[in-house]
Amino acid sequence: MSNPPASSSRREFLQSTGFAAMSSLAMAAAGEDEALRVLAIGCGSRGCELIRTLTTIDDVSIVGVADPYGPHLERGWQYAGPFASSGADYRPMLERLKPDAVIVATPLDTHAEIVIDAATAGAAVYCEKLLCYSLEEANRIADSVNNRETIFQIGLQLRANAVYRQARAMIETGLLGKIVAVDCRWHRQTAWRRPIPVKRDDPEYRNLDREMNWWLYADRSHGLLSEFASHQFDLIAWLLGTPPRRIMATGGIDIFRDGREVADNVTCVADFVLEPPPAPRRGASVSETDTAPYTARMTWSSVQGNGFAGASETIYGTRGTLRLSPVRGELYREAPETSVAWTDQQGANAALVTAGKTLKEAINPWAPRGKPLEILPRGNDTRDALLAFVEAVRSKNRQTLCGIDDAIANTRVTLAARQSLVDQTWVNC
Amino acid sequence: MLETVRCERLVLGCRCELRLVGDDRVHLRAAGETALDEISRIDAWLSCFRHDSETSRINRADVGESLRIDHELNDLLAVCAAAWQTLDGAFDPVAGSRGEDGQPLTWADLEFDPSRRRLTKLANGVRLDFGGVGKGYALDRARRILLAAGVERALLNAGGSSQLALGSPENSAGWPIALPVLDLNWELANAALSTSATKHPTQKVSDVLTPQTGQPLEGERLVTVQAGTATLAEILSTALLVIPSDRHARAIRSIEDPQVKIVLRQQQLPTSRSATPPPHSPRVVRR
Repeated sequence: MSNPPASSSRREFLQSTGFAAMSSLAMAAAGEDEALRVLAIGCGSRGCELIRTLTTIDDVSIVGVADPYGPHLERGWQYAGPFASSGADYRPMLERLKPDAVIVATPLDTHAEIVIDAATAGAAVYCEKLLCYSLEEANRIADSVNNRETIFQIGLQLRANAVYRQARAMIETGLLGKIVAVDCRWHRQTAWRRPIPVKRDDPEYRNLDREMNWWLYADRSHGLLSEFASHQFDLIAWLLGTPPRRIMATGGIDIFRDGREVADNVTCVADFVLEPPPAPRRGASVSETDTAPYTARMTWSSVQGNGFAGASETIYGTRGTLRLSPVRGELYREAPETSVAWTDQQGANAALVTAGKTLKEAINPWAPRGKPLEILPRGNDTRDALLAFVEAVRSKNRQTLCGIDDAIANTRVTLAARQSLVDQTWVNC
Repeated sequence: MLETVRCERLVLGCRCELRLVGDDRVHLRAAGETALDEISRIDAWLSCFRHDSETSRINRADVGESLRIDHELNDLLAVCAAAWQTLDGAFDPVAGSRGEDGQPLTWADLEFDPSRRRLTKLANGVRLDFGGVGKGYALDRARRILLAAGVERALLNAGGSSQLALGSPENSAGWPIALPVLDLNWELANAALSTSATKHPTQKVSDVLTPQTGQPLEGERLVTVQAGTATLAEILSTALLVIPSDRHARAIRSIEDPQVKIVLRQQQLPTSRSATPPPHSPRVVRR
């Protein structure tokens, strides 16, 4: 366990820009003596973003970074700062550094062991989603975390996002009326593959590929479902106040037949059983006065090779439609069905005579929807989620933004979708 | 057999295009997309047009609030501070900010303590904008990704105003670079290029502000700078638009980069893309 060599790319960057004056000042950054000591395990792109973000929070010190892959470890250390320890194996670092909290951003199949080790060492745990690879692992994690009263937060940071928090309030207060359908998309123009620094005929190629592109291997990840769908499955369950009842998935390796083992094109349908929101006092439609539970369906898809739709959600209600993304939300009003008094029936029927043309406009997807109410948030959800975690650790509060029960519920839904993808049938969540 | 793979993405407020040469298309695409992911990360982190960026967090802060910043931003700001000092304020990431009295604010209205990674606004209205350096920095970071992936020949182009060349295409001394507005062509190898102009032909007023006065630049000048890093090329092309041309040579001499040179300096531009080049040939100025 030692720090990477001093002749780092950070120093190289400062020197390469041609301005020597301030470089030495930046490199001479003082040691840190902040209160909350964090060990970051996993220094891939997500791990580094978590480390970088944590270093912007007052009174937090990254005391160590761990990753078995050298270049990732080096990069993680760059973000953590020159006073952080670094090592390939997190276990001796847990013992030596005795961190207050551990950040886990490693391949999915390694989460369970690391989370249990960290909880056993007495540290609070922030674990990237998905919680773990299997339900058996999830149960072991839950036992460990609950028995030791570990402060635990799963990295489903969309719950911290200001757009989605506003959307949740709109849905809860009945602004959208009854939710009738949800569409989620996670579409990207990408092969979703990292470059391997050796040739394909090198004996090390496959091992390196399994480390650097672990999400493409079926025994290490559930692909698009665990890495992307889990975010939106949790988000929609949180927005609607309940997890789905059952789910069905279909997909395949359709676009990138490059040796990957997980689908690059997946579509799911999930059923949610919902309680209707309170009917409006005035102008409630027949459907809105029906207070019995009902079923709303969510579709979710992720494709690689077309990024038109991006990552977004659309929530359709009897009174409005919410188009959501982490950086912007839009609420469009829907003209709801309204009851007509007896004396107005003649006029209402007369309106039906001209309804053909109106109906044609209404189903035209390009027809103007009116000016939406915009949700323009402030803040960064990853930073806000980490701030919430840090605050929970400082105040020794186990009620985190997204705790172990939420993490297990999310894992259950995601693994049900995975099972459906294999069995090609509905699976209960 | 060598092949060329092209990857592009709308990011940094422009179209970023990467051309990569190698013998494995899958590998090249993976390297290109990872490089574009890094550029996207820089954009999300630095853009003052995104509410969730680090720059916006700083810009929202109150006067006197001491903000902790990450090591990467600390390093980038250290470079910006040195550039501001070396170039006599001609490069300023605070340019365009105005105080409550309407007076222009400068880098001096920020307290930057790199040894403690702290940043504090000293006046209301101070706003960071990395528009004069961000594209260059993103290209430099992308180059690191490509080199780590073993890519030795590539051209990175951000919106037509910033280019970074790794090696050169097969059987060629450099990557071809064209400036259609002046009907110019040249080659670039293992260096970065940045072009800044006072305004686009369609603009009536320049969007580049004189840091010291806060006023839009006048005239229709264009400067193209070559340097060892895209960060430096971008800083210099921005600053040299502001610095009077008779002081360019002195500014260049203050930079510790043997690759720095002004490739093109044009004092008068055609008014539209279809216009013919000006009667005088552009000069190539060397150190």
